[in-house]
Amino acid sequence: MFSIINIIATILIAGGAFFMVTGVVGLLRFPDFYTRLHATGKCDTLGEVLVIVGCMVYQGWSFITVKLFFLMFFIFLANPVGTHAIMKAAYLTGLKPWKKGEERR
Amino acid sequence: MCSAVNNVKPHIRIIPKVIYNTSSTYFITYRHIHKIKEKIEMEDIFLALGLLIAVTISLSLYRAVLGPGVFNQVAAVNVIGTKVIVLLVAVGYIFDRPMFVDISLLYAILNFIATLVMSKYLERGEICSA
Amino acid sequence: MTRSKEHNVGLMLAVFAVLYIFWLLMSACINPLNGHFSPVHIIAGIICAGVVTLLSHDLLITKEGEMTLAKTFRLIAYVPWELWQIFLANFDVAYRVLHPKMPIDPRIIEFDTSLRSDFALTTLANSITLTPGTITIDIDPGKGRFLVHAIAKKPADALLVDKTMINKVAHVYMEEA
Repeated sequence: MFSIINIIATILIAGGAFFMVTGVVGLLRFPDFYTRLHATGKCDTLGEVLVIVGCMVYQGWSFITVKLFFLMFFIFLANPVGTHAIMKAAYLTGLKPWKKGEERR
Repeated sequence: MCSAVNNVKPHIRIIPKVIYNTSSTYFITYRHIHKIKEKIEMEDIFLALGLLIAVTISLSLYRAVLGPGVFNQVAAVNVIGTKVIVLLVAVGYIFDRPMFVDISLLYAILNFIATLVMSKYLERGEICSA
Repeated sequence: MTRSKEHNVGLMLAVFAVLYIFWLLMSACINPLNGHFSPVHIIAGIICAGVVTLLSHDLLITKEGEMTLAKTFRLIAYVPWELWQIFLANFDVAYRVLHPKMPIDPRIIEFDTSLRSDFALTTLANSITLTPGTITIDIDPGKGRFLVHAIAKKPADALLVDKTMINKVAHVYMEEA
């Protein structure tokens, strides 16, 4: 018997897993570096945060929930900053963005 | 404990489940999966999540190894690192060990710093300008 | 950031309290057998938080801004809208990834804002990265100039013409849009 808490946690974890798989498919499928970062920077952030929120719901009130909350907060702050850092490095070293109609690389 | 293991009929043993005993030593028991499973527990969902994350990590290894250019490789390594954070949390729930959450916090910080250092190095050709 | 030599006792106590509460939260379930808050962890926490406070007490809380409390409340009120935008962004990216023809048309756009403070620029950059179809590439803090990579024409127009997000961030940090 699944309780309601477990059902909510399972739905959140399933949503997070869907977004993580979508992010990896975008990483493999998009044509160039900048568009690949579009897929990973957004889908990974929300997917991992959803999984961690599911774990928090499953855990209930304890100190582990506090740690999971800090982990979620850190991912929300750090993931866009990391994406931005790689993108700025690539742009400043002169990697040309892909335009529509060009060959994929 | 040994007798408990030996008495069991030859079912499929899957996961060694570590129990934290009160006498502060580790005992290892085995969870058995019967041929017809009566109910799905929450641990099975975390197990499925861990397997799915392992599949996504091995898919993004393609970009990390063969990706054209070093920036694709750095981005793929960053993706693998952030997925490992969630994998550590799931492993902590599978083995009933709350310490894995601490390890995943540390891993998150290390992965972030590694990404920043790699991108700064590729941007300027040096890590720390004197 | 200039590091002043004068030791502000109240500031140091505040930093010590924050660090020590963080330590207690983090160390509470390290050893569930000896009960929460064993004396070893409490004393080690006092030593570690004290050393970190002595070394870097002027990095955590800076006295630059004014009206910090009002800005914090406005930031908390800004967060739900931002979360909704993140959900929209993920469905947008999932649609573009899973569509068989991949409807993308990437371009690079550039625009000026009137934001100057570090926190406002960081918030706007992170918001742009997390909202539909756009990622910040570079910021010029002196002019408030943003360089943004957009994945198609529609998100670029949403950022350039609509300007909802820039106005909201300017409202949070009380700078004129």
